Amino acid sequence: MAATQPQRKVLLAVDGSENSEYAFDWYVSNMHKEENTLVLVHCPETLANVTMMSPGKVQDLINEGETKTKSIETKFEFKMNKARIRGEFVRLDNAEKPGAAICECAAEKNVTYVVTGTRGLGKIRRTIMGSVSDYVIHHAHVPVLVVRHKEGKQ
Amino acid sequence: MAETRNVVIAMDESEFANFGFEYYMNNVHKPNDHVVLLHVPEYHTVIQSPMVMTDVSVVTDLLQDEEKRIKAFLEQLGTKLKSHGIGGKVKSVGGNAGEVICKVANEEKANLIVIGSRGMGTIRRTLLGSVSDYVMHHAHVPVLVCKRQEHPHHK
Repeated sequence: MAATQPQRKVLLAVDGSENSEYAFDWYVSNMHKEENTLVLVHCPETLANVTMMSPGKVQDLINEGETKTKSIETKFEFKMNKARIRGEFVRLDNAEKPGAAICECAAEKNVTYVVTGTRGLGKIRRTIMGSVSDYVIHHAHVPVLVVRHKEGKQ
Repeated sequence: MAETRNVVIAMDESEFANFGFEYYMNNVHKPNDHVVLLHVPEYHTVIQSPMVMTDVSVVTDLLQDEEKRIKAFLEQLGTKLKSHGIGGKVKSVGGNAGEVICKVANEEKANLIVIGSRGMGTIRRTLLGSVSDYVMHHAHVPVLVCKRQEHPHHK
């Protein structure tokens, strides 16, 4: 019966947070179907105010960033292997607006839906800082699953 | 794992909700799912009608018409469940749509909420209110927001 099932790609946006790990785990236990493959997308944080710092400091920050990104990649590749899920890890560097980068990637990769966690920001902070999950819901061309961390807001 | 998932799918008569349902069937549904098709009737035509102020019998008629429509829709939903071979039920609960959906999701111990989206712009969402936005921010479980693919020229 599953022979003619179409290949489904699911994009999962991750940062280094517990929330995105929770979203990944939740996806695996509740949404994953055998024929799905994952596209794990990470937008490394861009460096702000770089021109104000000394080159040494900038280099340090870049190295820190690299280490962080690599560890996220390793962590999720391990999780995918453990869960026996096929997938790829995509890093979108220089993404000014992570929300936009995620939507673009989703369109490019022609995914079936997008999964994101939330940072659990309150109303005001969401308005001022911007919420990636809000952005993605309203701009992605495919359905979006938002997995709020249980402990976030009551 | 043969666990049962409880899925609440918010349904109104719009194509957006129907898209959410179809999408769920094609991409998310698993055989053991227990699906609750939730309808939150809103008596818009009655409340917003200018005639409400004048004649009681007119109001009664309007209400009756509305009730008939709702009943027919709920039957449709029941048929939908049967024709797709889904285990579950149809529920109709009055009130504020967003709040009701969240409340019912809690009561039904939902694992997932599926909701369509009208894809309104920021301003309209702020002025008119968006049920999917409300549910997204207030539900205690993950929410799948199904926006239909926009036509390319609508950008």
